[in-house]
Amino acid sequence: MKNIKIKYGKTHVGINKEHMMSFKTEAEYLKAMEGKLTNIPEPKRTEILKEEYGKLQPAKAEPAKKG
Amino acid sequence: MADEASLQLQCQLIRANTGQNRCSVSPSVWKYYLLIPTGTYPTAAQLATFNTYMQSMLINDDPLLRWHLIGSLVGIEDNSEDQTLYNYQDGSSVVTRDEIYRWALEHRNGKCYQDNLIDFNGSEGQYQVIMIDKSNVMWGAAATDASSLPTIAGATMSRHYAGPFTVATYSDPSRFMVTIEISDVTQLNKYGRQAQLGFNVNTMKGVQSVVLDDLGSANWTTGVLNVSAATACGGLNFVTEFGALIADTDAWVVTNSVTGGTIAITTATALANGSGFALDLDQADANYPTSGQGVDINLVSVSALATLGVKYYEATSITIERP
Repeated sequence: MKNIKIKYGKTHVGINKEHMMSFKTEAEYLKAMEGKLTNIPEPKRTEILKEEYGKLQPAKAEPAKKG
Repeated sequence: MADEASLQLQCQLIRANTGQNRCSVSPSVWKYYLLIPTGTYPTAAQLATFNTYMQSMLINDDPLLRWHLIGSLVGIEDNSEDQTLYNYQDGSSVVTRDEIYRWALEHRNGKCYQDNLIDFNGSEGQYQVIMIDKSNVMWGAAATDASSLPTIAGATMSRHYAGPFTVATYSDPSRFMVTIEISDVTQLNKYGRQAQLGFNVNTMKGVQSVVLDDLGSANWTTGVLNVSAATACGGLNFVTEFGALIADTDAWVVTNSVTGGTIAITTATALANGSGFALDLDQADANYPTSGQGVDINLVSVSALATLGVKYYEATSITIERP
């Protein structure tokens, strides 16, 4: 499953997880998403993107295990 | 030696026997038929698990290999032709041409279904046919697979023709007919083979066509495109039917219409007003179209959509040009 699935009212959204993880910082990701996902009104739109980006960080920061 | 062989041919004795088996098998009325790409047929092993195999072929990702199950049939007119005889002056006769099967088969699946069958007109060379009767027995041509095991292939059609609907009257409904003609009747007789199906053919699912449309509000600066998706027959709206499942970047494939390079989709949104889907493309993608190029948008393959829970659909891609 490459997508993060969210629902806002009647709006269903699939967010590309790989694309999100390709950004080193939340600010960079939010910058890349400017003008996108506009079917969700602000400030909810940014809240969702920040929240979902944040959720991915532990997995992203987890060091590769050896053995 | 050549003379001897020639003599045997002329004076060949009938080698058949006519003792009866306790179990006689006869075709009952046709209920379905399968169109199978010419030259392809199940192996004996695939025949043993035909339920699974047939379903997999009905939804094959490759349209050139895909099978098509037509039915259920609700009527048949037998327009077969008798053998042609040459009558000698003394009153005796000889068969100069064998019988020809020609059946007008009727379904009640509607006009759009009939339109799809019309698309198969003239495809006799591309498809062979296996008939399935009301007793759930399929009838085809005898074949041998690569392991020399017996199996069933399709019979060669000399014609497959679906015509326009006949108009409804106050006494009759509109009717939908398709004609199958098999000029070599031996393929279903002496050289035919049959198998009892151990499952209900009615449970088999085919692929439905999906029409995509540009909703006309592309924003090339932000990379946002809006497209609608609905079934070609019935106009089933994908937002209302599969909104949550198709709102997935894995459900779509977007490529540069000039280079063919795949463009990453950052989000896919099922629009709340039900009009369609918003696809956010990654403008940083190396394949993102420049002015004068465009994008080809399509749903992913039948099997990939099925993985997402959307069974079984296939769309035709649309192109949106970037000014």
